[in-house]
Formats: sequence, C-alpha cells, structure tokens
Amino acid sequence: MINNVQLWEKTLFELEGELSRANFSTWFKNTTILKCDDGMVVVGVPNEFVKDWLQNKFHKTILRSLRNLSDNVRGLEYSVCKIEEPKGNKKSVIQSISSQSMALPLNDLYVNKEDGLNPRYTFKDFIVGSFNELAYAASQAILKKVGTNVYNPLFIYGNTGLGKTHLIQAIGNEIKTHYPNKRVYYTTSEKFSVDYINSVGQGSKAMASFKNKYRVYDLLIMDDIQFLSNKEKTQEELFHIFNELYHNNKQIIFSSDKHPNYIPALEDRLKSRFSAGMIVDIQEPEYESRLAILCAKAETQKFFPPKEIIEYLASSIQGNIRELEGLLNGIICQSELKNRNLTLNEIKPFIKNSAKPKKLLSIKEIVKVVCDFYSIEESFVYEKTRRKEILKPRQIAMFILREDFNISYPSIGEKLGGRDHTTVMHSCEKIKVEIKNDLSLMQEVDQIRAMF
Amino acid sequence: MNFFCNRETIQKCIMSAERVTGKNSSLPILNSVLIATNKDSLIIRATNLEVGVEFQIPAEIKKEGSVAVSGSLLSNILSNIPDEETITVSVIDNVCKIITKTKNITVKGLIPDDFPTIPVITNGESFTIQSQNFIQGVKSVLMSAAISDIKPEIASVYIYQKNKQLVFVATDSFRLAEKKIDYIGENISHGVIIPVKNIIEIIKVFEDLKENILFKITKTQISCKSKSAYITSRVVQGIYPDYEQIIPKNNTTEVLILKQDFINTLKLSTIFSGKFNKIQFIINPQQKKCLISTKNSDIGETESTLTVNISGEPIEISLNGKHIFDSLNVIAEDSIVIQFNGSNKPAVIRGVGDNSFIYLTMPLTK
Repeated sequence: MINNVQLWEKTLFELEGELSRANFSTWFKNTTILKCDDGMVVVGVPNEFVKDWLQNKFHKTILRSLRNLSDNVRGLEYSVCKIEEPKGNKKSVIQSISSQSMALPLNDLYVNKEDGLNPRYTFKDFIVGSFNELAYAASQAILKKVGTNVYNPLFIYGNTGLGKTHLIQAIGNEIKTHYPNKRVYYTTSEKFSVDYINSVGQGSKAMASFKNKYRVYDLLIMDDIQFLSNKEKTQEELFHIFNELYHNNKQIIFSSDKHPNYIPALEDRLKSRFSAGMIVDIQEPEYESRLAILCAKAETQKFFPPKEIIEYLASSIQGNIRELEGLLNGIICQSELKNRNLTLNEIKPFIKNSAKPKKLLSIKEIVKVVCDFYSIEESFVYEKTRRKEILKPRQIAMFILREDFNISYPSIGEKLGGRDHTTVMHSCEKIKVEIKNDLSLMQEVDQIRAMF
Repeated sequence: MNFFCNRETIQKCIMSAERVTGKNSSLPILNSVLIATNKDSLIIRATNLEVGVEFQIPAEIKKEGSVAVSGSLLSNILSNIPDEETITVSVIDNVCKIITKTKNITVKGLIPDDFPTIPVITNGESFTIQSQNFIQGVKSVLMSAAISDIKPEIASVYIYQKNKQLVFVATDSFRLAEKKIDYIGENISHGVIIPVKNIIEIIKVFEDLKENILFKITKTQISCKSKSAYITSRVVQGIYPDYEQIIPKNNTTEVLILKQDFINTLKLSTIFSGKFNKIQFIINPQQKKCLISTKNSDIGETESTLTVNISGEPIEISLNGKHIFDSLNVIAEDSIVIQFNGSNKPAVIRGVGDNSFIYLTMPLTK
C-alpha cells in the first residue's frame, strides 16, 4: 500500500509524459492529494480555475493513472485548498522600511482575537488513547449537550505536554464551527489576572467593562488555572464570574497541572466549585498511544521514517507528548539535511538527552524520604517494633518500593530489617486495599511519590 | 466563425480582457483572449488563472464558432484602426481575418479548445451593489494594502458587512484605511479578502459602468456580474487581522487643517523628506501653530509654519509623508482633522464631518 504523497507523485510522473511541459506545469503545480477515503481521492488544487480545468479536461486521464497505480481508487474529486508555496525565493521587501517605521499594533494574523482560540487545535488531529479517553469522552458529552450543565465545569488536569490545551481549544473550535452564534472565549489564567489588574488601575468604568466582558460568553475556557494561586482578588473575581456563568447554564472549562485540591493557596470556595462538575485527569500516554501520536505527527509533516524508528522512539521516550513531537521534528530535520532516512544507531545519540534517566535510588534513600515525611527516626523502620506510628510508614515504604521501583518481595524484606517476604506481600496488599478507601492515605502516598 | 460588429465596442472589451491575460505564463494560450459566439452576441474571455473575465457584446453573427488570439496583438490592431466604425471577422482553421472598408488583416490564432474555462459560482452568498459605490469603497482604501504578498491576508482588500454598511479595509501594517459605504440588501455572513492585484482588475472592468453588480462569494472565489461583464477572482483563505481594536477611541491632541493649505506645505516639504518620506510635525496648541519640517543631510532642509486649530496637548511627531498624501487624495472634504495619541501611537486622519472614512498611520522613529 503506498501513501498519498507517493501515489500522487507517481500519478504526476505518468501525466507528465502525456502532456506538454507547459500544460503540465500550469495545471499540476501545487496540487496534492488531500485525502483518500474508501477509494475516493480528493485532490487539492490552488484555485477554482485549476479545479474547473482538471474536472473538464483531465478528469479521465487522472483517474486512469490513479487506477493504474492503486486498484482501489473509485472516484476523484477536487477541492480548492490553501497550499503553502515553497518559500525561499520570496525575500522580505518591507524590511528596509520597517527599520524606520513602527508597525501598527495589529495582533498576530493567525490568532482570532475575538475568541483567543488557535484554529490549529482541532479534534481531527487529537489522538485518543486510554490515557486521555475519559477527558475526551467528557468533552464529547459537552459538545453534544451544550448549555445543559452536564459536566459543568469541566476540569482537566494532568502534567505538562499531555495535550490539555489541545483538548480544551479543540472543544472551543468545535463549538465555534457547530454553533456559530455561541460566543466562545479562551484565555489563560495569567491573561485573566493581567486583565483584572489593568482594569483595577483605571477606575470604575474599566472595572465594569472587565466584569461584563467575561459574562457574555457561552463558553469560557481558562487554561493553566494553577497560576491563580496566591492571587486572592483575581480568584474572587473569577468566583463571581463563575457563579454568573454557571447560573445561566454557560459552560466553563478549566485546565490545570494539578488536581484543584492540590493547588496551593486557592480559595476553598473555588476548589469546591471546580469539583462540582467533572474532574478528569490526563495520564501519561502508554506505548500504543505514543506510537499512534508519532505516526499521526509524521503524517502531518509528510515524513515517513521506517517503522522501527517510530517504534524505538515510542518505547524510549515516556510521558510528555511535546517532547515526542520535538524529537520527531529533530529527526525530520536531520534526515532532510542528510536527504535520507536515519538509521537506528544515528537516532540513539539523539534520544540520549531526552529519554528520562531512570532514577537510581537506593532503598535506604527511599526509606529515608518516607520516614522524613512522617517525621520518625529512620532506624525504627528497621527494628522489630510493631508500634502503629512506625508500622504505617514501614508498610508504605514497602508498598512504594514494590509498586514504583519494582524490587522483589524477598529483597525488600531483607533490606527492611530481615523480614519474611510474606510480611512484605501482606503489607503491600494492605496498603493497596486501604488506599482505595482511605482518601487521606491516598493523598499521603501521592505526596510522598511526588518527592522522588 | 463569421461576425460583424462595432469596432469601438469590441476594442474596449479586448483591451480590458488583455489586461488579465497571463503575461508570464508558460502556457502560451493564456496570453490570448478567446472570442466565441453565442446566438446574437459575442463572448470575449481572458484569464491568468488568478482572475478571469468574460464580456458579452452585441454582434451580428453570421456563422458560429470560436478562436483564441493573442490579446496584445489584437488590442494593438484594433487601436490602430480608429477610423473604422465596424469590422467583419471571419475565422477559418484558426486563422482570423479582420476585414474593414479599407483594410485586410490576417492574424494567426490558437485552438480554442485548450482555452481554460472560467469558474462560475453556483452556490454561496450573493449581494448587489451599485458599481460606482463599490468602486468608491475600494479606491478609498486600495493604496493602503501591502504590496508584497508575503502575508497574503494584508496584500488584499477586506470587505465585510456591518449593520447597514459595507466596510472596506486595507492595511500594510504601517497604515490602515477603512471606508464605509451605505448598503441595503442581503446579509453577508462572512467577510471576503480579495488580493489587491485582482481587485484592481475588478474595478477596472466596472469603472465606466453605472449599473448594479451582482456579487457571489464562496470561501475560495468571488464573482462579479453586470449586464455585459463577468469577472471572477480567487479570494484569500484566511483571517483578516482584527484591526478594529487598534483604532483609537480618544485622542490627546486634535488638529484641524484646511486640506489645500496642508497639501501645498507638504509638497514643499517632501522635496527634502528623503527615502523614508519622514516629515516632522511640532504642534503647539498655545500659539495655534503647526511647524512642519524636513531635513535631508545631502540636499538641505525646510521649515514651514501653518496656522491651524488645535486642541489638547503639544506634541512632536514624525510621520510618513507619502502615507499622508495617500489619505489626502481620497478625502473629498475641504478641511481635515488629524488626531494624535502621543508620539509613538498611530495618528488618525479623516475629513471634517465625514465619518465614513478613517485613516491610521504609524509615526516614524525619531
């Protein structure tokens, strides 16, 4: 099975032989295959003139060539699309003037100022895997029932580079396309607080316009809410805006890198409101998802590295999607430079810097962290005491050693005061069960884990 | 093919069509115009694959057919037989014979089958505007569009509907012009960004007409149709910058000047304004004086004083003289008002009593 780019290249090669040079370069320059669904090929053309002409004059020829190359081609359509012309010959002409002249403070051409959304983020290129399927499902539910307060507010949290911003912007963009009269607004908590601070300095009129500005939206998306910590007045303003929007059945979406309860210095009334709707987390993607993400990314870049390289990348880099993309870009750049695909060995040094170093901690160090957390003497853990305040840290230490560091039961037992491996198994099992029922224990374990 | 028609009518159309033939195209047929018959009228078509035009003119058709002939050649021939009132054209085997009372001209043509078709918009939104209104709107802002097409969005004129007005905007990111034209008619849901090179062709086609033009727009194409002419152009697929937020609502200094006085002074000043067209303004509200000076270290300098009406704070600012001239050319009023918001914020120029046109220009650095 050949891919679209190759298919089109081969088709063009055939057509080039049949047509005169001038004809070919006029009509087939800047064309591409946009997609190929069930044998229906959509060819992207630069303008309507070309579309008309290909349709009227070359339709049969193109279709015949396509069929020769790929058996499952059934139909052919044309669509006018924006095709980036290769840059390089266009030199900046304005530069000489701009040294003297100041530019108008026009915003970046490509950010739609009114809603702050970046149209680049859509669901089309959003990869759903088990790591984010819950968040995805929640967002789809919101899209289906806009303004009904299902999952309102939606709170998405997860580590950096896992696609939170992509997801919430995609919701905004999707609503914008399906409900053009809904007012969508995307902002970051930082922008919000700057906006607030500016309005404070400028008297009551500015304040009123600030208050009104955020209350007119049907969908308010606020990114990186964790930066609101310690900004009491901004929080208070957000609280009022939240209430107003919530009462009018307007959807609100937040994202943060932490669960709301762990955001320091966040007012309780905000915390409780964040928890009122739906809180979902985005985990780190597992191997299959990473593979899918890399493949999709390579596809959009029109770059097709050998399979084993993608697989190697997916297996050696954990977690952060942004890092994955960065590395892939690096590899694309390298292979464009060398004009061939890189081998696995060439890629390895590349990865070296980015692959997360496996943490090497001795058992002793881990035990020390746990003991420090519970402020007990380290030595007690190794003794034969069964006092409750010692027992719990010891069991947690065993649990973490087993779960996070994969140390065998017997060696845990041996290192923690020469205990039998069944004791260790019992401890781990016990914590595992308790953690499900005991919220405070879960928080404690999470906090300890954060220290490694 | 054989037809008989008025020389002046066909000449005008051929010359208009010749403008949009593909001059640098590798496909030779794009240099030509297509002449075809349609019952009792003649169709003249040309395209450079950016813009396509089609004219329909009355003619006496004796035999149907079509031919493609070099546009420049044909317009050259027609403009050199000014005494002839009518011409007869016959085509056999793509050879075109133009016969007048006293002249016999033979022109080689090309196979008309290879001539590109011109897209016709069937779906999409449509609206109607009187041709002169449209042209006025476009011409008021045209000069502000960016010349280089690095950013295609701003190498264009942006047209959209707002309330009961049609708004025309162009900017090259150093200055901006906005013109509003009264408009009653169908709602236009999304604005359209037309490349500046193409909109020039559009207004050229309708310049001499005074009739309603029917516009049709889709995401990729715009077409304009009058009784006798049809022109279609690619549109820029993109988002026009949100310019409204940069139009200042207040001002710190306001200057009222008679346009002609201002033009006269500027004309003198530009002699010394150098390649950046830099003109310095020192505005003094107390003395009601505006000092305009330019300086060129190679050739000399000027300094002139204008007595004007000023309110607000004193200000010193350098502006681009060419930008100011461009705006004065489209302002019809006798007196203009210039508003400032400090020496590094855009200056606003408009005609006194005219709210339909607004012009912003950024100051130059000192």
